[in-house]
Amino acid sequence: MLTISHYTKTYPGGKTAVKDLSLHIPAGELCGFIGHNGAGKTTTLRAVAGVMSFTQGTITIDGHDVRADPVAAKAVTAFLPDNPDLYEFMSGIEYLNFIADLYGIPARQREERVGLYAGAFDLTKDLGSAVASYSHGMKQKLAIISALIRKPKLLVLDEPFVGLDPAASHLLKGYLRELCGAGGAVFFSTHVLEVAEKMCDTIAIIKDGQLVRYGPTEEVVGDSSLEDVFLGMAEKGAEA
Amino acid sequence: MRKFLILARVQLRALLVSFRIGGSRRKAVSGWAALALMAALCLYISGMYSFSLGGQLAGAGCLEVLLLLMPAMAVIMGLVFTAFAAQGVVFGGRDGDLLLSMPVSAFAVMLAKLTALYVENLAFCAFLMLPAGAAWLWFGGAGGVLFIIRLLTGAIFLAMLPTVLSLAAGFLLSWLGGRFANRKAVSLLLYALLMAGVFFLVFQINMAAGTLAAGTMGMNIQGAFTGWGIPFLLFQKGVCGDWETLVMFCLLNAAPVLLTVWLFAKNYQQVLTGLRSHGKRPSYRLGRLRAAGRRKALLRKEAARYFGTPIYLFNTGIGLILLVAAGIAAAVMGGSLREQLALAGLGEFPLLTLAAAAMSFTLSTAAVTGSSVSLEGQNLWILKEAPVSTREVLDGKAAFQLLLTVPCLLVCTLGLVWGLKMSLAEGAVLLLFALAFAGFMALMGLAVNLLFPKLDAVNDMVVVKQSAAAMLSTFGGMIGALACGGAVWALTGVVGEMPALAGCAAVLLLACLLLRRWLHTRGAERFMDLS
Repeated sequence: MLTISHYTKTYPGGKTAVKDLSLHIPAGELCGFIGHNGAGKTTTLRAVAGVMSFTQGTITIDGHDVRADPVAAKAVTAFLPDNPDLYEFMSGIEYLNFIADLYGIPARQREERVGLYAGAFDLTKDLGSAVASYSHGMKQKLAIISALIRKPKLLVLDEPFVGLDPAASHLLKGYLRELCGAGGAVFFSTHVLEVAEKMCDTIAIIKDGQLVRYGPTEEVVGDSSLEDVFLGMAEKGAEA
Repeated sequence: MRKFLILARVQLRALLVSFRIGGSRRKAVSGWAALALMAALCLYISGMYSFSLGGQLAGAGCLEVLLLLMPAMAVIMGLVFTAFAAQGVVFGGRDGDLLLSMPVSAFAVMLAKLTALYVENLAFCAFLMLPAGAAWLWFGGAGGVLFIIRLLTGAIFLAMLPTVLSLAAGFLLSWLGGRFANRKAVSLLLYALLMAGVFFLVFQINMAAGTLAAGTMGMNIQGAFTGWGIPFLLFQKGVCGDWETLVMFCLLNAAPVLLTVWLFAKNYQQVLTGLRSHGKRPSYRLGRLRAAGRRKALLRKEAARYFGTPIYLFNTGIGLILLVAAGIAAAVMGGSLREQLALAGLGEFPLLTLAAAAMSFTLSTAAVTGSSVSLEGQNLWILKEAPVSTREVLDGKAAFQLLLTVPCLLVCTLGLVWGLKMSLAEGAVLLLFALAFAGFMALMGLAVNLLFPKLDAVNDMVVVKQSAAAMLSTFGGMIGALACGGAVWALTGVVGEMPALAGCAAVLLLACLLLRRWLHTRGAERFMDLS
């Protein structure tokens, strides 16, 4: 579903945020992407989503090259940034309609999906209000709903559990599993290592712009915990 | 004092960053260059007005009225431009929580925020008063070094008046906007009332000057400034040589600022808390939803932002309103329009050229696309991750500006053709030119915004009023309008007025093609590089 091949991102000024990153997430897989602050997680996720340009490497989503055929790649993808800055001049329902229009979701289907997800996240009654009046958690829920109604093949999420209440977090985990079960894939970053350890099929650990560990969760974690693995890598880096 | 200076430095730095001054050396150079260009253009336009008004007043034997009218204009301009800034920066800034949690007095916080507003108003005062002072000296006003010292001192304290007025206006706008469920509609209404009030005042001032110049003495200018206009009378008297009056003027302006800041600072926390609270949200029930295509969705989004952002709407929409009003006025005046123009001394001007120049100059103020990309701000990811090509996004932005401007142009052109008794051929050429200029403005604004994006503004006001792209696209349009007018004027004697104007339209259309090509290639790349 998602293939990242030798992806490198260097910013103007010479700073290399990500260096020669390669990984493959097949359909049905839920991959957790973890790393320290400034490791290159957001840079990678934004490149996958087609939000950030890059010149080295290739990223293909369901066979579509993100650079050569961006519209086709984005048509099967949904992205959620770490801070869901949404159009504050729209109401919640106007925003969902806007996204549904861009993705060409027919009216009947969008009614069903909006009703389902907005009801599940208990946001229906607030959809008529301006996004400007929403709390951070409500904006996060709205952004998640806007991603789910597209029924994407690949869901790219940057720290999706931040700001969500426990019930919404539990719901989101269920929907991510459901998406993978239906043949899709999820690629998300998180700092909550317990969540990554429990729900992810594979774990990718990035450090200083380079992929240092990638594989099935059991192999990456081994006999210890993901937290121990992560902290151990951090200590090794500090000693070096 | 130390803490106030630290905070004031941050606020002023934020002001400079809005002009892209800061960061890399290259950015700083281009930012300063853009600021210098805007300052030069402002001084030029203000100078033309001052000398024109000064000439009329000197001819009527009342040059001193110049030093009464221009300060009033400076205060009005400052109020118009900074009332919205006060609402956004003082009562709506994102740093409120951070600053109030610091061990800094609310008085210092408010005064620091007001400093940025004051600097903007000082710039407006300088742009209007310096040329006014030059006009005064040119037309024989008592001068010398002392006059310049008094003028500069007066201008420094004059800037405090619109600062305190905009603070009050900004609070009122914030407070009233937060009291109603439909904040959008209320904000639009309040902005409309503010702009109407400003236009009324400017109209009154111009009428008064015109009455005086015509020698009818229908209104006693000095008498009209008693009561509300006392500060301007004091300014005039002080600058003309009365040092005691000048000192009184300075104290009269400084005291309200300090008093207002003290009053707001006493309750700043409560004020901000109250402004941010909102009433109970109405409960929404999901009903039928309608689907639309991508292009329509993009246009609807642009429209929702435009009509939902009062500062954006009024800053760029006034020109469009003027176009429609001019068309209707021309149609209503009918055959008497030519006589009215002759009375104003414009009878000898080629009217087709004059109409084209006026329309294009007015259109240049409707630089909607000049802020369109910057206003995406932190929302840019939504368009970038959506399955729409960059070309569609940029075309949508340009198309929205044309959707706004073309109907207004049609009304204006029809009205002028009727009022000026133009032939059908003349009307067709005028419309062709106007449409070509409208297309040029839409595409040029977009290109300028991609070259000078401002995605990290603290609020929309900074983007619409202070960003380099917004100002450059407006002034670029004005320069384009003047250049077209000049070119048509020069070529009229060679090829005739209609062919000259048609030729100008053809050049504009070629420019449109080249701009569109750039937008679809390099412009699209720049858009994708934005983050």
